Amino acid sequence: MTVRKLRIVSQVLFFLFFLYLFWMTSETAGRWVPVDLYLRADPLLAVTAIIGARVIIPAMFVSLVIIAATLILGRVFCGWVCPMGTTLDLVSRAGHSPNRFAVRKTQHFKYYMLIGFLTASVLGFQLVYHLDPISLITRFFTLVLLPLLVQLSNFIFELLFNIKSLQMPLLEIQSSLIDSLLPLEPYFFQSAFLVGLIFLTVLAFELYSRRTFCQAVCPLGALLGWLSKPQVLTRKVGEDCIECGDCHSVCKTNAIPEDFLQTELRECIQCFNCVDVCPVDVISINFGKNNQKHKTDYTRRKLVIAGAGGVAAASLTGISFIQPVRNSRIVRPPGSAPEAEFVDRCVRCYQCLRACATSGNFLQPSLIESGWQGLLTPYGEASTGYCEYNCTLCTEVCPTDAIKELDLETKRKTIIGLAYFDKNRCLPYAEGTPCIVCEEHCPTPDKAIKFKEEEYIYPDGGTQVLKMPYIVEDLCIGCGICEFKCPVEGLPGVILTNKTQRGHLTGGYGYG
Amino acid sequence: MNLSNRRKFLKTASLLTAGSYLLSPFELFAQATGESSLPAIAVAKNGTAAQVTRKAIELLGGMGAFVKKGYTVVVKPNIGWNRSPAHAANTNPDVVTEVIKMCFEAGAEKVLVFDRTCNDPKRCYENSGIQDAAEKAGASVYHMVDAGFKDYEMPGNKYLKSWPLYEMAMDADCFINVPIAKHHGIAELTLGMKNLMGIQGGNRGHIHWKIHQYLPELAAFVKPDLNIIDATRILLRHGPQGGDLNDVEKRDTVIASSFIGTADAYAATLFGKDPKEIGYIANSVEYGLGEIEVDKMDLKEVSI
Repeated sequence: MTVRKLRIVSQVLFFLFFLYLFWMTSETAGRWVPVDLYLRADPLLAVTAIIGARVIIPAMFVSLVIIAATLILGRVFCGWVCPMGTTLDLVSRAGHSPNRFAVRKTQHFKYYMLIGFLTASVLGFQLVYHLDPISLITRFFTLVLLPLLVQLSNFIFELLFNIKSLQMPLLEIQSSLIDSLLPLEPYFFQSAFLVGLIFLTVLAFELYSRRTFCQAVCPLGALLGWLSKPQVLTRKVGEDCIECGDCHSVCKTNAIPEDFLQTELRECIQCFNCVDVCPVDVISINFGKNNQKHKTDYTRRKLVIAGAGGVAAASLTGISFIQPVRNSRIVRPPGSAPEAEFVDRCVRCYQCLRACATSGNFLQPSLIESGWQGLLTPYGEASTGYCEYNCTLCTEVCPTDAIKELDLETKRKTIIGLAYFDKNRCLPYAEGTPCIVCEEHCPTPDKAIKFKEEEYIYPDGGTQVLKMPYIVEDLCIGCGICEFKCPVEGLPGVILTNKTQRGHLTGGYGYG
Repeated sequence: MNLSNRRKFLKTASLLTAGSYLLSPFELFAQATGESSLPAIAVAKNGTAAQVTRKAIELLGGMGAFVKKGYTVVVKPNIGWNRSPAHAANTNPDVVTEVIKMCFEAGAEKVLVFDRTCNDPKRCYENSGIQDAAEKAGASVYHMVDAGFKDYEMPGNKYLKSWPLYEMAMDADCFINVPIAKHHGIAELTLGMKNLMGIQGGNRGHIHWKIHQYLPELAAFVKPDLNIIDATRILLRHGPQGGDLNDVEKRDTVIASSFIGTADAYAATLFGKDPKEIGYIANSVEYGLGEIEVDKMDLKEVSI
């Protein structure tokens, strides 16, 4: 087996492992590795989250492994491991994408992006998640791919369910897939369209030329490119080279210039395509320094300008003030860091959404309700689900500890919001209809929703004694099940918010 | 439910009930022999959950009176909440186990167990202990899927005229309703009739709006073949899901009856309540769901 084939096997295995971890995110039992491993191992997310939120995040120290590997072996992560890179390779294989040498001219761009993102994070603004490949792909899988697959498998399930003799086996299958492909309620995410569109754009560029995203945009690729400087695993071309140019045209990342003897090591992802294709077997990639380095043509001046761009982007985010009244619906997951720190720690990987989708379908990606800084951050949306009282899943899967892991006892006491009644909508108050479904579902042992019996006088003068619900502020933890289960059609009779009318409540890990 | 079987049974049973109006229960027991000596409601107390369950069913003539060889039986416990068995929010898994065992002893081919939960279904099935217990007893424990609901017209009803119900429950040869007795805000108590909401699809919140009218009509339409109320421990406050062990009281009692109104009425007395004061129990009389006055019940009580 050639090394190139080994590389392909490695890509497949790491991709399958990525899928496996993604699959395992909705289940605490049977975990033997952290399901957020790929995200934790991402040095770019580690650096930006640590700088941006000004905190030490020990969970992210796993990324030192990738850093060390890059220092010695170059960008093997990009060529052998990255699930985004593998996805792109799959797409170009399916679409027979060419290698266009013109893309080489864009290679310097990713370094500007990186500098921009880093500067912004120094100023305390997190932007890198937009293009970080690991965050991008986890986000796409959670928000788009899985819901699509769920819809599809549901459709097939319902079709087959019409056949009576298949019902029992189908139900058997359903039980084992309830956390993944066949949840009882198909879930959906409100910003799936946006995230899907960005991802499809990346794929479209892949069809134009191979690894365009990696060459032109990927800020992680840029970081690893810089880190690869001392690498000792390098490409060498023997003297018998016949200058056929085959290596130049099979190189996925345009790391081999027209002078085929040279290698742009910062761009080389150690894919070994060149070694395999060489008709006279004079190319080798082995340990030992290679002095024939080419230079990516970024300039110091432009890097400085990119830094200024990062400052500008950060400033724009900072001055785009959102009225607090707009964000009163932004209820953060239990265990969330204080708001300012939360939005900087969060890398929008949506592991928490994935975990929540089959447990309560409470967490949704926001748009700009919590400001541009909070763009796409997860929040609890009580119209799509509720925070399950006996669940700690979302707190277990956050790579940057934007959501701190909570034990069940602490989680049950963690206040994330507060519900209030809209007496113009709530049925007993508004029209004298008995209801209190909310009271039934309120999960705290001493219910936060209680009722008092009052006589209701109808317009025609008739009366009835009704159970009128009310909230006990000190008992409400803000799980939102009251709003979710409220049977009033349209605007609910009871509403979850993140604050009391006097402004005190959540923020800062919510407890203690 | 097998209709012919049910009809036959109901006929016998209603004759029996009619008889009990005329004769005092003691005289009836003293005189009756053979099949007609079976009571309308049986209560077993003071034993383990398995013992009282078995005894109560035996007093009604054994599971063989309801389950015949080759039957597909649906056992419908309350698995509504993500709570552990100690919290008395869901049916006791030991009661469920014993019912399933007796079904198989009576020759059932398949026993299905399911409930439409209020919290996340997987967590409810697991944390209630019911999935594990029922599977160990040999039952098939499935989740209730959207595709399994069908709209049912209920022509005889005044309030609940149609509703989606779970077809598998309606089509079973025998449907056994196994609720837990517990407190409930709007209904006051959740017992046998309330437990039938677990086979309802749609937005069940609407049921709350006329709960005392809807529940007897639902029960009259579904007509479970047998109701087994788990009162091994009951939830006195903060129902229907509780969460505080101080709200739970041990009673070691199981009530069995094919008359859902009678079973519910008896269970209400365990909470010190007058069944006639509870709207849906009082209204159930109109639908022929059984005697609700305890001293008029054709009742057999046994302490183990």
